[in-house]
Amino acid sequence: MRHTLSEKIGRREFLRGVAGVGAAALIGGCAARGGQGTGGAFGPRLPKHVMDAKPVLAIASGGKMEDRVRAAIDELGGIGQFVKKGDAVVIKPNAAWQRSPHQAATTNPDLLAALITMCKSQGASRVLVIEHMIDTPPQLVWDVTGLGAAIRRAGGEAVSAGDQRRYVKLNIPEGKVLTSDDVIRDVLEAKVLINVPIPKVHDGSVMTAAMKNMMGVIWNRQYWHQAGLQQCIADFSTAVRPDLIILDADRVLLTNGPKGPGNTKDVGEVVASLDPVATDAYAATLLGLKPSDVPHVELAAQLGVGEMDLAKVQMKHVKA
Amino acid sequence: MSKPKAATVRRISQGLFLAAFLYLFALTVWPSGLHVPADLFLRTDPLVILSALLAAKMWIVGLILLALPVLALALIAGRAYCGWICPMGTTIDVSDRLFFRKTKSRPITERSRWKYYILAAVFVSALFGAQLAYLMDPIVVLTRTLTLAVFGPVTALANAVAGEYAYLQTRIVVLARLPQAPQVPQQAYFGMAWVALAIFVGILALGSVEKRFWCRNLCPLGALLGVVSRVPLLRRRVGDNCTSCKRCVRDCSTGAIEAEDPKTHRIAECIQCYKCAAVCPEDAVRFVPQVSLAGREARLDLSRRRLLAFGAAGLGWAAMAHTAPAAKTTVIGNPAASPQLIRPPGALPEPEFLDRCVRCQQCVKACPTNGLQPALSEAGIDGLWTPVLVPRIGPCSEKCNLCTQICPTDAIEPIRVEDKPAIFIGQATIDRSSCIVWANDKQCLVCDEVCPYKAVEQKIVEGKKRPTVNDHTCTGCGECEKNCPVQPLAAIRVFSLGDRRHWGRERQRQWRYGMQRVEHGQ
Repeated sequence: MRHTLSEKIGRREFLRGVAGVGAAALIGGCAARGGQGTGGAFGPRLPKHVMDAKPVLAIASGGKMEDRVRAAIDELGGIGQFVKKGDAVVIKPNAAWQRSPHQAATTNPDLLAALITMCKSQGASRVLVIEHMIDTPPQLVWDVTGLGAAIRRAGGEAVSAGDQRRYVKLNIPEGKVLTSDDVIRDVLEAKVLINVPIPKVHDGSVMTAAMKNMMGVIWNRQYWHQAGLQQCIADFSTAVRPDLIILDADRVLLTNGPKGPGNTKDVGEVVASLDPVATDAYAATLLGLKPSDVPHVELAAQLGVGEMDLAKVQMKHVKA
Repeated sequence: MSKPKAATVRRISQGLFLAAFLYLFALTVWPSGLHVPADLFLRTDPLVILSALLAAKMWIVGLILLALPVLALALIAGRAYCGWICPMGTTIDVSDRLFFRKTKSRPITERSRWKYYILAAVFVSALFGAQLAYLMDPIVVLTRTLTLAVFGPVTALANAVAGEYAYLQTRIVVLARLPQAPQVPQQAYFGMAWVALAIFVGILALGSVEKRFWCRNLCPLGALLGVVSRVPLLRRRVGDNCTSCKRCVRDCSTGAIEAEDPKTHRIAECIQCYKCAAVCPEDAVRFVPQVSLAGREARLDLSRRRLLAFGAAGLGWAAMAHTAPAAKTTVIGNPAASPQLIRPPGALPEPEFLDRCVRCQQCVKACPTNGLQPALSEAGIDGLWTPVLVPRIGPCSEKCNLCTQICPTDAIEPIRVEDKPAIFIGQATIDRSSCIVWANDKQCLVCDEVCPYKAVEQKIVEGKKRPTVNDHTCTGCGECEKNCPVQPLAAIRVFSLGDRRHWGRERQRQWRYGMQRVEHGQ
């Protein structure tokens, strides 16, 4: 994953760093904690020409869920572009609510299982599925959403980040309102970060998809509401950019979002992309909104996070 | 049965029952899929059940039936419950052994009558409609201590260890290959933990005076079983070869054997440990079944004056409890003086609830969000340690009904999760002067987001969507208060104004769904 304080560090240097910090932790009893650390920093893993090219939305439909996920990712060059053997992968689904899969308030468990399986078969060392939940208790949320069972089935590990000790401070130099935040350490240090949001209307932020979903990796959500929710969502997206976004547009929530229950629409799509703004712009259209209806999409585009004008985005439709 | 065997068997029995008690206690987690009644020890505790039902003036056969085996055991084998089963007795035995080795078992004293007087106070108080058993029932005391003073610290420790492990996993390559730490229960926070601990430590510390001080002198459950077991089936018989060496008198764990005449013993004080039989050098002591009433058991020998005095104290307790301001109910039966007295869903209407609740803290332990807390003064003196929902700590989780499943006296009646939208424990109100949407024109609506029942509705006022509460759909679960970003006092708070327990289930359903039908024109 890429964030702003990133220096380009090779794997060898990283391992050396890990060994050093590991030794320090063993000797000094976690001496490295609580500082201004932003965690291990990585450069973008994709070749520059891919990053600079016209943003792509790979939109897969038809077939079985796992085929759809594979087809969408293949359109971006295949999972091998993102996950290398031995990588620790962190996935951020939407697992905030005690809601069953059919209510479309949380990420589709089949989609998540398919994605974990792909990462594992690519040789990922661990696949952590992390969420700072809103509903409690965590066990109940994993159970009701069906995500716990899906993660177990596919060989991932479910982490509910309810312990403040898991968070470290991240500076957000490009943020207009949000200049730093406490973020789950595993997310910052992930070799590969995959965001798996579900599009929903949202009473507080008009809509939630890729960028709003990342609000589930920070500790103090309350502050965003007080400081200005839309700007905070955009600010945060300048600092934590997932390596890959898989938009779960199988079924989307049209009313009473984000928790529902409300009216849903079966779209039957899986969208893979690298551009959070383009993803959200497209997600808005699935919900019957214009991208410009969603302030944080506009604000993020202004900050240069991505492209909100869908006319300038390459849409690749594929049948699974 | 050979002599040393009885002691060993008793120890094993004590160990197994203590282990079962702890296991059942640990079972009260959600989601548990309870197959065993986790409140078995409380449900079979005759003091808890009888005093709760007497206070409520309700004779619920189902509840009484479960307590009968313990009473039957007393008729057969005296206070064997105290010596063989009671987890509190076992704890005291262990503590006496660990900390008070040098304390001698002493002959019985005047003090042993106290427990009967306490029992009298408990029953008189219950007769006048106020619970008192919770103060001293051993199973309640132990469950309460485990919940408030043990479970909280244990979860804190488990979280610290799991947290450090997860951290080290991100730092040390070798550890990263090991599996993740198991999901531990969220750290729990409880009020009154120090009080519960102090009472428990006090009970154990009494072991410095004499062994099993609590069981001999104070335990009202022991007293109840003692009263019932005046003429049990199993009797202590001393053969003619007794030399009056008084070895048994010295070693009796409750001092039940008369010093002047070792052949006589006070059956109501005997906890059936059979130590007297084991230590007798002449092998003269036997415990044998006997049907006839005749025997050499000493009388209870209570002072009538004291009994009356303690009975009066029980009456006084009931009178005091019922005249606390929190006991005042409004014309419809709501607590009048405690606007933030939110009871768990399924709780009986307040007066009946207070009669039935034995303050065992099982529900407090079980609550997965930690929102249920033991009351200090919110419900008055009569409501000490009763469960109160504190939404700011944890809301009433939409898909959970665990507290209603494990209440031993059904003070919280079992409810189905599906029925929760029509069980009103309170109602949220919005403080427009501190709500950042109403007062500061900010974009928030977290209360609407988190509401499981869609009871927070938006009104467009001065061009902005602002939250309001629908009183027909708001159940008072407190999700909004928990998650409201306004600190420290939430701008949306749950009050007991929407507490509709006294309506009964059917009318609450009508309130919930009847209105919806009207609104939707069906």
